[in-house]
Amino acid sequence: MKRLQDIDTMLRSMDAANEAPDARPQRAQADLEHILAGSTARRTTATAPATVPAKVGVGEPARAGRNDLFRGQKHGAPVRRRRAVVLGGLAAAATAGLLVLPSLSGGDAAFATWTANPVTLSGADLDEAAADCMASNKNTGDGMYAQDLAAAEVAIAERRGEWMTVVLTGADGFEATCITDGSAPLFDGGMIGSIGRLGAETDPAARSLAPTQLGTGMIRNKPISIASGRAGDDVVGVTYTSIAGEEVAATVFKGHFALWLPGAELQDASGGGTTVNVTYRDGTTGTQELSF
Amino acid sequence: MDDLSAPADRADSFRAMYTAVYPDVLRFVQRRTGAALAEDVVSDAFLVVWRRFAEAPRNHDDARAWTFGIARNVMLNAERGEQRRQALGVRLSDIGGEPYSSSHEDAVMTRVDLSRAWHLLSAVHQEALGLSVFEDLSAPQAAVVLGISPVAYRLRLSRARRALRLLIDHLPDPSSRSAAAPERTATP
Repeated sequence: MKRLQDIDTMLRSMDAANEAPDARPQRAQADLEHILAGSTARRTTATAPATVPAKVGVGEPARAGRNDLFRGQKHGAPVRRRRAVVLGGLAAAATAGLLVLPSLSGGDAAFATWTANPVTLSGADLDEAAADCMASNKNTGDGMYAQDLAAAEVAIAERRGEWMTVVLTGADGFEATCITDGSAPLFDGGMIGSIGRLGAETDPAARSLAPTQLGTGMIRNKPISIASGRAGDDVVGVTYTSIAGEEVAATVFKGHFALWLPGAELQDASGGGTTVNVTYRDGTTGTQELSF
Repeated sequence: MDDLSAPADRADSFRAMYTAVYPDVLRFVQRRTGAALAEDVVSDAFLVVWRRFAEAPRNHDDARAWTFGIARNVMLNAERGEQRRQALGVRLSDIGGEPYSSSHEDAVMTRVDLSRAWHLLSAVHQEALGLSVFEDLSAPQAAVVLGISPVAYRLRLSRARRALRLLIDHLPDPSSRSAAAPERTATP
């Protein structure tokens, strides 16, 4: 009896698509423009049969410069969610998770639905957000974190308006964070986040916070500020008071905390530190400085 | 609803989807048809996707699977003659005679063995396996591609796996063309 895994692995090594030509960006782009242009002229024939003779000549020049999006597709796993740019090296002395996305349409681009107080995700929403985060990161670094992701657990899953945040954790200090706009149209939502291992970090003391993301990143061409990481056992609440005076509550769960807010006000926090208010299990409160 | 007033948003969303999914759809088609035709098939498939874009699933992976299903229908329609084909077989790459190296001691099969066994599988079984192994689809997503229920797909996949294992373990001698493949004619 041959093991399924062996058979699947060998079959993948015999994938006929690996011997076929790569996607040609010019052809793909030309087809796209023809489809969109043709549909404008023929709106009333939307019920045409499915099979249509190909109309696009091979080698037709590209009309727009999005060619780089089609590069590097041939080897390795299919690349999905390429806009989910993720930085490794959590807890490095740098801002984690920087991402610039083209601003397309729809969705909560202005953060109008964002709320300072998060709502815990549960049920199908939680499952979907976690699965989305895993799928977004599966091919990061040529799949180097695929096994960690498959085995990861959800530490934090929260919603702020349409925005969902998931923190996944696993063995050996593995951590992945995703923030996504659940209201964005198909494929336009984008994601900001980070993935990596904490290295030689030790657990934070019972009343301490150890940030693993701290700083500002870009999503949908707008900056957001993020503070998240690990929380000691006695920490039950974390809030950050914004420059505008708004109190932003973190989700604190399973030894982790996470908060974010629109704007770039945590841009220099990773170096200079920023102050948060902490509530402890015994009901006392205090302030702590977050920095790497 | 008048489509003529459709906002540019729809075209932008389609562009984003097209860019994200095109390479995978091309590979999907390349596994099932000649390389020379693949781009034409993909072009036709995306034309249908554009027309039916309002039905596209929001979730990326589901939309990808949905597009595979459309590409499959385009291929089936193109090959439809007097007898409509029910499945699209999946090609493997041309292989040399080198053994597959593995640390598992029971993995003594070679690419040649597997290639021979694969070619003895029915198109229905090749298709069921291909969606799982090459397209990396979940059972519900593969079921969407084939237009069957997830339960039916799971059954079809398990039968396909069993058939392939049996074929590998009981490959007929290459010189003996009369040996029957046990699951060759199994229905899905």
